[in-house]
Amino acid sequence: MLIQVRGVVKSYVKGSETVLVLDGVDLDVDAGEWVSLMGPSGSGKTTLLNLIGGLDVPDSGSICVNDDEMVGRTNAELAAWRSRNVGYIFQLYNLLPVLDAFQNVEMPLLLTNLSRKERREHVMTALDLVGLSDRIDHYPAQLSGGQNQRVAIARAIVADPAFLLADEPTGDLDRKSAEDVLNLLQDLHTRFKKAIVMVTHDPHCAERADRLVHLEKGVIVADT
Amino acid sequence: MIGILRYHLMSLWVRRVGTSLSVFSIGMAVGILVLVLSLARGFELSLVDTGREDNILVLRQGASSEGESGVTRPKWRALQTYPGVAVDASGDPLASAEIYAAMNLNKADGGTANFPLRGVMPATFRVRDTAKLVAGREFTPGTNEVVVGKALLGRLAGCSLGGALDTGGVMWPVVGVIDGGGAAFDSEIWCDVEVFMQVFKRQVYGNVILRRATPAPAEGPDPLREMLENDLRLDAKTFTERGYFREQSGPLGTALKFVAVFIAGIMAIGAAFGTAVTLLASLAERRREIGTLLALGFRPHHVVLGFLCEATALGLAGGILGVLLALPVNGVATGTMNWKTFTEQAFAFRITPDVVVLAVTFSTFVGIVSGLLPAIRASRVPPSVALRG
Repeated sequence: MLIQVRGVVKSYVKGSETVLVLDGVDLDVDAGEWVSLMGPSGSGKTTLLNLIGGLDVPDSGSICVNDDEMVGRTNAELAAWRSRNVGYIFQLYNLLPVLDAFQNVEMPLLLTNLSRKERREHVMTALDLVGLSDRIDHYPAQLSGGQNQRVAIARAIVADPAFLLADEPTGDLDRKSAEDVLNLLQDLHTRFKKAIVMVTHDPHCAERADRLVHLEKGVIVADT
Repeated sequence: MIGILRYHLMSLWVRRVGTSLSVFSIGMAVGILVLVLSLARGFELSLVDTGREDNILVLRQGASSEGESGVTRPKWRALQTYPGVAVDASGDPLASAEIYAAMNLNKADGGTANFPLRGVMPATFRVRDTAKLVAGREFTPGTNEVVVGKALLGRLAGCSLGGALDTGGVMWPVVGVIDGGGAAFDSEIWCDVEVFMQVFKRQVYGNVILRRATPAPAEGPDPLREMLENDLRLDAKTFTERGYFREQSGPLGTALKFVAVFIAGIMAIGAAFGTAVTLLASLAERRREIGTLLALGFRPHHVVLGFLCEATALGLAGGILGVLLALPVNGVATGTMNWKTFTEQAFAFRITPDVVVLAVTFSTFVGIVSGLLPAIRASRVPPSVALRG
């Protein structure tokens, strides 16, 4: 088992009110599996994704990745763990606007001990995989939405993480670009056996996954 | 860490309007600091760099400056031939009796100010040889001819080679110019000591300057000075020539430095707040970017260091700008009242390497202080919150 979520509860305080976002969620994701998380807004999809990625900590429950418990680790420990294990893909790409495509993809490698030459090789391989090796010196503002998302995917895979977390990766793209991005994820999934946990609103997008998990009001209501 | 710096430095470049404003506000504070410090330094150097270490200045016991001192003729005779005083090639002692007073003279640009008039013997030109005659000739003994320090040329009415100064009801023709190398002699007027005493009705000399025959011991008490001070006939107090001038810079040098630190301090606080606001504003804009960095695995301390580097770069750039803004005044001559001698002291702004180092260190410090709060704030935002922008 790659990811094992058990009895996770998470709430936020909004003003004087406490909002329960996840209410005792259990979820298993196998190595090489692609899981789509669906559900209405506020159902807790992104919160669950953030908890799995160590961007947030649950109020209670347990999250194990490769049999390592994530709950109880410090922010710095979680950050170090993320840099080795998690590739993030965001709806709005979250590329650093002041860096070009090459530099953006190189960012996660700056946390490794790779030499400049090795980093360059990794970055070029990743950009080649997403079909953008001819755009290395383009800045995000000079690229289309689809191209930006492909740069973001290259950044997510460049350090060869154990799994990818994608938060509505096609949410900001037109149909054609969305299809390209999904094909790319499919390719990574089948060729490199990358596990993917993907939050989406789009049923067409969700169909690509091996499994569909439905959340409503902080609980899993369907797992097919 | 080096890699992430590229992101931070590029961010400064992309937000160049805000960056320039911060750099400019720090630069202004540093510019003022450099100006006042260079003023203080110029003033200090004009005194501290005056004279030789192997010249001994003899004053009356109890006097703290040349103006207050008195040395009678018998004492002068005793001092002139004192054992340990150097002699020149012709066997004459390298010693000179002098008298020093503040004279009220007309300034070239109107108004009057006190300028130092030093009555000297011809031997003074050999003893106080850090002042070099650069134009004209020495005065003729027994006449009221004078030589003037180069900083006085153009500052005093009639002060030019061939001109004449008007004080004490006497005209003093200017026959030579001395260069003290930016030091106190540049502001002095030298005339014959005997003429001085006649014109101003003085009975005694003011001080005596002696060149010692052998150097003073590097450490411990100086036997020659001790002997002079312990000689009951002389009633003398001694200084090295340099040591005396160094002491004269005391109160005003300190006051100028205080002013420098005070004014620049206030401006620096303003600049630090301005920079902090700029960084906080940029932080608000870049919340999502910070969240992304954290999501990619960068640790909170990377974010703190990154922001501190931005602030340091702003401070450093501000410091360099400040020095460049102040640089044109380097060497510009000015004058002020020396409250120790009550005379006008001419000197130049001196932007010395230590002033530059101090200014740039100061600005970098301002940068770091201003970046501290934004940096810590940036690192404390939980990544999941930061990612929402």
